[in-house]
Amino acid sequence: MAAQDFLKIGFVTEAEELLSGMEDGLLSLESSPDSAEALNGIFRAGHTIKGGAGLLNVDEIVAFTHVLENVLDRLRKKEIAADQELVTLLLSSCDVIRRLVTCVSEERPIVVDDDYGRVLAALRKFADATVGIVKATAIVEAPDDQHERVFRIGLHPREDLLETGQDPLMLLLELSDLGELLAVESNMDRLPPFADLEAQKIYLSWRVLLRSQRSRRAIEDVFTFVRGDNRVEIAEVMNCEHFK
Amino acid sequence: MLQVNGAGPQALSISGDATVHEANTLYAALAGLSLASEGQISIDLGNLEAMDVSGLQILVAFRRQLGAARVSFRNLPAHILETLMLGGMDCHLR
Repeated sequence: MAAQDFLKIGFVTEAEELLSGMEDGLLSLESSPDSAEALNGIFRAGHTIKGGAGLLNVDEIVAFTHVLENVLDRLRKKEIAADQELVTLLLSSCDVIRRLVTCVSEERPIVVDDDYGRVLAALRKFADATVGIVKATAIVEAPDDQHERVFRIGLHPREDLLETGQDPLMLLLELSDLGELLAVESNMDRLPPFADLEAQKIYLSWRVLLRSQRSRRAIEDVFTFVRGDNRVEIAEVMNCEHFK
Repeated sequence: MLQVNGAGPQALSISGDATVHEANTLYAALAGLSLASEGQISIDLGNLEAMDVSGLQILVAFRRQLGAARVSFRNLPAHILETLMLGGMDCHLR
């Protein structure tokens, strides 16, 4: 058996156990909403699932649990309350993850359905909006050096990006965490006449100038989950060190 | 939950979430208004809780259809304006 198969079996088995534990913990919050033991256990479970999915490069689970982890972190820090609405949402999150894990288990293509997008969007409302929602591990690495650079970033998302639960505004929020957004231009030239508009599609594109001490790799990591058919162009246009 | 309420023959109030999940509802409401209206149209956004790119596109396309001089958007909440500014999109609603 290949190493990847061992990893997959281990991930599936562990994820199923962790999801059951998360659900038990969430249900216990209904009677003990401040239980630190339950809150920490739920957080650890979400974090562990994310890590396992990352090892297997299951980006859909990583992206989802990234946001979930942020919400759970806020919950255990008492920044938000475990009320009925949130507990119900978190239980729905477990259902979404379980379906994705089943896809992995059965070696079926990952299906990102409407429920995935709906629950992910709802989770984002509880996530920390001030620091950006998704802060991938790779992004919090130390800068390669102390030189400031200016990057020109072009983002031309697929028309159906929103329907997959991704939001270009969240990507811009993440970029703003990496430095200073010197300019952000949105282009609506492709917006069709109202009668021809398909309401759920994206017609906008963006051009961004970002000043940052972070590496190009860190900038690229922001777009890890929206690669594929989305066109992302990143170019270093100048090194601010030249102006010092 | 998105709600679109008429506030008179030439006025509309949009409240709740103008996001991708409600995009078809918003589009249908504005499509109906564009057929039925003449003259100036005022759209009150004061009770919007969230708006994403899809909601913005619908509003902008609607105003382009009727002409910028005929359609005005009022009371855009500060938190939504901030989000639009981050995305360099606030200019499209002015």
